[in-house]
Amino acid sequence: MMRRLICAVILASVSPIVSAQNAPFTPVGSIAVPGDMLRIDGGRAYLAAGNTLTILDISNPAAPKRAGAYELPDRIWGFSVKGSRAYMACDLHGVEILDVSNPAKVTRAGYYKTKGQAHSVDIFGKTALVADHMLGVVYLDISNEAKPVLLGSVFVEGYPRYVAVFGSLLYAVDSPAGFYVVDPAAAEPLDPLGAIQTADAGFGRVISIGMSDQSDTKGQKIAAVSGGRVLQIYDVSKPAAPVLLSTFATPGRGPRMAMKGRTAYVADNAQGIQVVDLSTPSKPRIVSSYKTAKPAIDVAVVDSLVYVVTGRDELLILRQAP
Amino acid sequence: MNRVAIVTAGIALFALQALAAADQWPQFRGLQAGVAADDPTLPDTWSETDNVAWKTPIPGLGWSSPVVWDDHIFLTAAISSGTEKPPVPGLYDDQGGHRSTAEHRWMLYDVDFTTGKIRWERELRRAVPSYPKHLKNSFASETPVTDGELVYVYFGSVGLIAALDMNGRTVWTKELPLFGTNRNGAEYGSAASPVLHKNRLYIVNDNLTQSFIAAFDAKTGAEIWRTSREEAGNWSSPYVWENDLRTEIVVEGAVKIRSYGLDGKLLWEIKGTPLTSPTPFAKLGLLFLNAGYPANIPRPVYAIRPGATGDISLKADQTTNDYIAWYQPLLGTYNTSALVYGDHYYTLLDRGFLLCHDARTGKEIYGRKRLSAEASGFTASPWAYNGKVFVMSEDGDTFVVQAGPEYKVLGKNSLNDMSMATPAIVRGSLILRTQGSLYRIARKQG
Repeated sequence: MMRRLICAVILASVSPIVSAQNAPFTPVGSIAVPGDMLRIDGGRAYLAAGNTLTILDISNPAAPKRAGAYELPDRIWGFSVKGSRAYMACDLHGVEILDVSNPAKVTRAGYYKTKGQAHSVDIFGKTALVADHMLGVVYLDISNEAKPVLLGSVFVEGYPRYVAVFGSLLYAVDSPAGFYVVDPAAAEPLDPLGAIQTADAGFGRVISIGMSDQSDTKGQKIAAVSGGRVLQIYDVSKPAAPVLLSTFATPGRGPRMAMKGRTAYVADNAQGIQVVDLSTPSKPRIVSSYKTAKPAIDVAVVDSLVYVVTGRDELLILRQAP
Repeated sequence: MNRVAIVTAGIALFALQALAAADQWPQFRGLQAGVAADDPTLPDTWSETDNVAWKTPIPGLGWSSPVVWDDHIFLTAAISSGTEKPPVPGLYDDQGGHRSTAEHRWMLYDVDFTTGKIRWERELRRAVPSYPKHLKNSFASETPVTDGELVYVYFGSVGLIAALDMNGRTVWTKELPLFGTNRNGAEYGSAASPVLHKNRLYIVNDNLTQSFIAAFDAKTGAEIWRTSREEAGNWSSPYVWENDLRTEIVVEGAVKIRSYGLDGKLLWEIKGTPLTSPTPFAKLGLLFLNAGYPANIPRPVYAIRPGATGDISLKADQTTNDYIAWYQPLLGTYNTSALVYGDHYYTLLDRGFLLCHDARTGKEIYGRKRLSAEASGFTASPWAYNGKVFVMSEDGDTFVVQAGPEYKVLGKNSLNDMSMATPAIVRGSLILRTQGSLYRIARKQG
C-alpha cells in the first residue's frame, strides 16, 4: 500500500499536466483553420485541405496567426516546404511550385504537369521527387523552377503514394505493399536501390514516413511507415536491402505520424496522439498519449512542440515536457 | 475422280472462308486477338494527315472499338445534351464517379468503309444516365459484334441489347436490369462487350445486386439461359474458347475466373483478382488470362490448358498444375489485354511499359521497357502485323515496336487526340478511333 502511494506521488511529480492525460503534454495554443496535412518550416505552419494551402505564423505558439492562403487548381494530396518555396502535389493538375516568401501574397514560381495523379513531392537539392501514379517516382530538374524538366522516373509496382527525402536518400511507399529506397541523385536508368513488398501492408492513400535521426550504436537506422493496416518498422541500414523489423497497431490506426529520434508520434484519429517508443524497433510500445478533443489528423514535432491537426478544422499546439 | 473433285472443292471453300474471315473484323480485337494477317499494304507510319484515307468526326463520346463487315464500319457513342467534364488521359484512381444530369442519346453509327461517310445512324435510347462513371470511361464502351447479317449492340449503362440489320433496321431489343457496380461508392460505368458464337449472343452483367452471364438467341433475342455469378463489378468481356476438347465461355472475375459450358454450367474456376478489365484469348493451344489493378497483389497471368474441371487454383507453393501451364504473379494489366504474336506473349502495362515472355513457357524474354516517359496511360490493347507490335497511348500516339526477342522502338505515329479504343485492321486499313474522330489509315497508293 505504501509502495503504491509512493509510486503515485512520483508519477504525479513527472506528469504534472492534464490529469486526464497520461502524457506530459501541455496545450500551448490553438487556432481554427481548415487542415488535413501539416508541415512546419521556419516559424510557420502550412496546412493543406482540399485545394487550399493556409499559412500560419507560429512564431508565438501561444497565439498562432493566419498569415495567408492560396487556392490551387486541384486537390492537394501531398506537399513539402523548403524555405521560401512550397512544392504542392495536386492530383491530375500536377506539381505547383509556390513562392511563399510573402505568405500574404503567395505566387506561382513554377509548374509541371505530371502524367498521372501527383500524390506527394519532396526535394533533394535541385531535384523534385514526385510520387506520380503514371510514371512512379518522377525526377524533375528544378534548376530553372519556372520550367521543371523531366529527368526520368523509377517504376514502382503499385500506385506511388508518398515520397520523403531523409539525408541522401529518398524513401517511397506505394499502395498496397511496397516500400522503396531510392537514390535521388541517380541518373538513368533509374531503379530503386532497394525495395520490399509486404503483402498485407495495406498501404492506402494517406501515408507518412518517419526516420530515426541517426543510426544507433549497432548501426541500425530505422524507418517507420504509417498509413497501412498497422505501423511498419523497417531496418534501412542497408539501402539495398530494407528489412521489415516489426509491425505495430496503435488503437486508432492513424495514417499519419512524425518521428523524433526513435519516437513516433502518431496522429491516431479519435485516440488523439499516441507516442510510440521505437528504441527497440522489434518491440514498439506506446509510452504515452494525449487525447485530443477532436480526431487527430496529422502531427509534426519540432523540438519540444507538438503540432496537431484536429478535426480537420483546428491546429493545436502542445508542449511536451522533457 | 469424284473424290478429287470433292477434296478440291473443300480446299477452295476453306480458302474462301479463310479469306472471308481475314476480310472482316467482326468483334473486339478481331478473330485473332489483335493479330492481323501480314499484308504489305498495311501502314507502319501515319499522322493526322499522312496515310489517312479519310477522317470522319464522330459525335458524342464512346470508347467502343470499331468493328468491320464488308463495307460497314460499326461503332457506338453516347451524345450528351449538356456539357460534360472531358476524359483526362493518364493513370489515376478516380474517387467518386462522375454523374451526368444531362439527357444522353445512345447511338450506333454505320460508317462507309470506302468513303468514311456516315451511312446511317440510329438513336437506340434517350435518357439521363442512371449511374455515374469513371471520368475516363464513356457510356458507350462496349464494342458491338456482327455476323454480317445483324449487328449487336450492348449498352450496359442503360441495360439495353439491340440487334439491327445492315440497313439499320432494329430487329429486336432486350432490356436488362440496371444495377450499380462498385462497392466503394464510386461508380465506374460498364465496359464488358457482347460476344457472338453460332447464333448465340453472350452477355456478362456483373453488378452489386444480381450478377449474371446470359445466352440469347441471336436471331430473336430470346433468352436461352442465365447463370448467376457471385461477382460485383467487372469490366472484362467474355471469350468463347474453341479448343480441341470442347467449346467454353471464359469470364474473368474479381472473385473467380470461371469457364462455362455452352449450357451455362460451370466447368472450372480459379481464384480471381480485384478489378478485371482485360479480355481472355487463346493462342498456341493455351488460354491466356490476365488481370491486375496496380494497387493490388497479385496481378496474375495464367496460361491454361484445355480440359479443366472444378477449382484449378494454384496452391500456395505451386506455380503450375495439371491445367495451369504457367503463371506470373505480377504481370497482369489493369486495362489492356495482352497480345500473343508468334511465340511471344507481350504485356503492355498501363503505365507505358512493354514486356515480352515466351508464350508457351512464361519465361521472360525481356523485362519492363519504357516506351516513353512522355506518354500518358495506355488503355487500348496492342495489335500486330508485318512483324511489328503496335501500342497506342491515351494521347493518341502509336509506338511501333519490332516484334521478337529484341526490344526496339521503330517509330511513333501521332494523331494528337485522346484514344482508348483498340482499332480494327482489315483489307490493308487500320480503322482507328480517337475521342473525336474515326480514321481509316492506309498506305497512299503510288
